[in-house]
Amino acid sequence: MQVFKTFMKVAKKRLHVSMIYIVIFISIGIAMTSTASDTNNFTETKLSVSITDLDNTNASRALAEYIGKNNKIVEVENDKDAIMDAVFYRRADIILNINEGYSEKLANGETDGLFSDYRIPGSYSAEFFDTQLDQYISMITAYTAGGMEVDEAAAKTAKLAEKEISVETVNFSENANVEFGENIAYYYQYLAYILIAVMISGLCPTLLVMMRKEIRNRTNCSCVSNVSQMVQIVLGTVIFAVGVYLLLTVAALFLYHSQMLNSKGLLAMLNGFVYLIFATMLTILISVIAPGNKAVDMIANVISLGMSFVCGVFVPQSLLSGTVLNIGKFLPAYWYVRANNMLAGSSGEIFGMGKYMTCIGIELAFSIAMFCVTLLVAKTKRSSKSV
Amino acid sequence: MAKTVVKIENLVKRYKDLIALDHFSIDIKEGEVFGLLGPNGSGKTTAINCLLSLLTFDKGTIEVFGEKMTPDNYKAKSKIGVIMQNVAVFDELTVRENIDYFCGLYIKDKATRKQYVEEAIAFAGLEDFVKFYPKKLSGGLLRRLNIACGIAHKPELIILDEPTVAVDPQSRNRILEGIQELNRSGATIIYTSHYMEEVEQICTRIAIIDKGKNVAIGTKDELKKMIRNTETITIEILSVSQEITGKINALEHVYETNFADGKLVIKCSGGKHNLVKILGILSENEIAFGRVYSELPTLNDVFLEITGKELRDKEGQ
Repeated sequence: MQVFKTFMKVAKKRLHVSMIYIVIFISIGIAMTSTASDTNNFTETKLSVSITDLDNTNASRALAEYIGKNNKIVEVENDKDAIMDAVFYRRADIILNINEGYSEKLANGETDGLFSDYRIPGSYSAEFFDTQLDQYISMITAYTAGGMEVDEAAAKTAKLAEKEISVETVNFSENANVEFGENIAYYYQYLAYILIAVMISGLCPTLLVMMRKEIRNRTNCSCVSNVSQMVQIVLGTVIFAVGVYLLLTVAALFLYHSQMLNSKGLLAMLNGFVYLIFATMLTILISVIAPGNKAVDMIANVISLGMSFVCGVFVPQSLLSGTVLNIGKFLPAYWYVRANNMLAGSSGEIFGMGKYMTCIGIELAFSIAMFCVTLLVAKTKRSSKSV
Repeated sequence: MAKTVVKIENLVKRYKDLIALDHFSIDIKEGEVFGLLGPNGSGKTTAINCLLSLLTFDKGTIEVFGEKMTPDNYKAKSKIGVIMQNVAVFDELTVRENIDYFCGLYIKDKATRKQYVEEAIAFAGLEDFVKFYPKKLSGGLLRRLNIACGIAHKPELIILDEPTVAVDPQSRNRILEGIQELNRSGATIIYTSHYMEEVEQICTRIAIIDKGKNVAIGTKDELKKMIRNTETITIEILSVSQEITGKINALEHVYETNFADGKLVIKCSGGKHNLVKILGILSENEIAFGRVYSELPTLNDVFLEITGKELRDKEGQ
């Protein structure tokens, strides 16, 4: 086992590079977990609104009361400069004037010119306020159109508005957030990047050293057979890869413990393991074709970052253009992320075991293809050397 | 009669249209220091790689220790130590770890291996550098480490492929002494080089190889006897007439006279007192001359006469 022992010794010398990636990754995971908010809660947004009631009728007072229930009422001096300052410095999201004749216009079924206001044009809060107001006026006009008096319609509307609306956040996949939290989803999503980066930058230089022509020639002159040498190198590679995987999985269990120990957590681990196989095959291929140690870091960055950007590791797949996604389909990271998104229910695609296994199968197919290419390249290189 | 350790017969190796080895044959006996002398690209390393089964060949046979050499002849391989032209050590391992790795490819027993590694360290004079990484070693020390890695398992046949390339004279002498020491301790040595002085110094038998062909083989004295030249006399002189060079050329054992750049070079084939006779002609004709020196033929002369070109011409290539 001389070759294996030396493989491990050489790998140990390069371990710091892999550990830098892993430590940073786990640290980010810890930071995300400790700052995570409970995304299942829903809080209605309240705006800061200043109201000037120029109509001063029962109906206008009912409206002011309705607005006050759903928003925070702030006092702003009735001076143009003061109003502009309040809006500019966001002390008030909107300054609303209930125009004179509001009640009368409503009774006549008119909705134009009921209000005037000061707002930041195009702001989200102003649009939100418009929705509230439109909803209120629509209800009043519906009642008055039915023959009800304005005051009575306002009272009815206020009563309706008092009813609490229960809000439930629903995820695309059944029970998605209960079993497979957002943080785990992110952890496993970024794992696609970290696995490639760690494997190429950590394992590839070791393989390059073991495959160096001079070393190989000298070892080939010894009593150790070619097959034995290859078996020992493969054993070293497997131990390195499994070690990296176990480290990252233990970290995930440590960070998300109970959330990991369910069917979706196990499926995420399986997805990660299958992707690890691809990362290992890719690393072996690179070690066969890489011109030298100096090129490895560059190759690691280009492949890991490039694939991550195209396949939706850093940017959600839902935000990527169709062209980019079509390109991504030719890369295993796309299928890895898609399977992960299905588990997390973050992409709109409903989880299904069949679809999930298809993604896993495609990842495996990429690994097999990578292995075949490696054999072909290695054979071509060997034959060109012996010519 | 000494046993044959290596027998190569009619070896042919082609690289597409280039014939690297052209019916190359050698027969190396036990206890020899056998030199393969030839310019760069002459086929020395190809012959060694074929011998070690690192390269396939088109024709011929190779036998090592009486057995056909194949990639899986591990019995023969266990008796061979290899020191390649390019240093083959791990930059990531220390001096001791490197020697231990290569020794461990042959010696499984830990205690024996430890002893062998220490002996190899002592042999190469690396005691003070055992914890050093190769990158911290000078060129000479690195070559010595390369040799220690190749001989640690105490092989019966040691193949050294240009082990002194780019080595300072002090380290070169140490390496050459070491090789002779290994030979004295019973190892058969195959030594390839394009430095004829080294080959002359340590090899008991030499094969001159050019364009993949074995052009001459024998001891250095036997090789020198193969050529016409027995003595080259050089006389520093300002000018000399054709009449005088004609008189010198007419002497019984002189077969070539050349005058260029203030030097009159006379080549003799056999005979005694050639220098006295030549100087006599110069004195008779009152021709003043400066330094005079007489040289016995070198392997370069042998190579020059056999192949028609200088061995040294190719050094830089």
